[in-house]
Amino acid sequence: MSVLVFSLFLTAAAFIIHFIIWKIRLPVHQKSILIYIFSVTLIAGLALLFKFRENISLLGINAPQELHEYFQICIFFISVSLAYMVTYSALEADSPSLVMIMTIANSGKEGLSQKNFGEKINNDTLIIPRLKDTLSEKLAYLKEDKYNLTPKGRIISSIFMIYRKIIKRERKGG
Amino acid sequence: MVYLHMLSPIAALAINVLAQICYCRFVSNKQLLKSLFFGFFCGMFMLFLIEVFYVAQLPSSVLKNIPSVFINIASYSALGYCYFHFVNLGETARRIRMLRELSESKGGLSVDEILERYNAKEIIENRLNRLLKSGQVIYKDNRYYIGKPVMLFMSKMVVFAKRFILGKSSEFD
Repeated sequence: MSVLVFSLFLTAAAFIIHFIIWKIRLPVHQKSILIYIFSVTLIAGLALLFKFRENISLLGINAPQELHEYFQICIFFISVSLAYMVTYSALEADSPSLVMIMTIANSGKEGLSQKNFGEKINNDTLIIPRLKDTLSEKLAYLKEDKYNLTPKGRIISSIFMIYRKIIKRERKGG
Repeated sequence: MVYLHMLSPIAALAINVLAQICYCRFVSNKQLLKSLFFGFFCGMFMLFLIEVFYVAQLPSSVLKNIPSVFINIASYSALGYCYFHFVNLGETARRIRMLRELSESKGGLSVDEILERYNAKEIIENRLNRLLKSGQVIYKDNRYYIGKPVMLFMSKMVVFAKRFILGKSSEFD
């Protein structure tokens, strides 16, 4: 029971710190700060818990005593944090499907024509912001007005291309 | 055995990935969602086996160990969700598609050259086809309407989460 209680406590603590900081001021480098918050909470939380394990209790349940229990908390915390971070990335940028569904829904009973679609959803909203992201995230760089991949961008694109080759999906995604 | 129990979410994830890849290679590479579900359930089965062996050889009661098993199930589910996202990124993410276009070009691409290869028209067509096929959007008298409410509900949830966490409903706000 102690593993469950302290895993949830540590995870909840990280989320509370994250939400408080975000409510005070939205950080410029959100993902980096998010990684920082979750890493510090995990390391500091586990270190404190392990050091004072004899004296700490929560809801009448004593802190875990065995080392393997701390590893289990660690795996749970990292799994949930990773799941949240991938979801967070999806929240940061507007998904095209979401924009399309909301645009159709906002048009109400009259529906939406093909022409309206083009006016509301175009390269300026779907492509250009993501292209700028590749520069800000150092996945690409500009050389004589041409986008080129950085080593980081090359590694990431290779991972996906190799994976898609393995599962025999040759069609380009997107 | 205690270390196998501790690492069971990672072992289950490995089985998940292997099973999903095998499904795509040897059964069908066109049913990506089905392959992901198949992989996830294979991993869950592996996790279940490990946990049953672990609990069975313990002297303490089964009930006492349920919370620890629950933590492993939650950890594996979160890892499975991350893997689903990884596969989905390769399938639908615009940035990944752009990186692929750039990696296949020699000497880089200008904005116009990128837009020739990948543009809003293609994105809209791809997604509209998926939404029409699944009945989430209906096409009638040259106009589009909301069909099944599932995607609309999910979109509203995402907008709600955006407002709650980021304080805005769109990246352009």
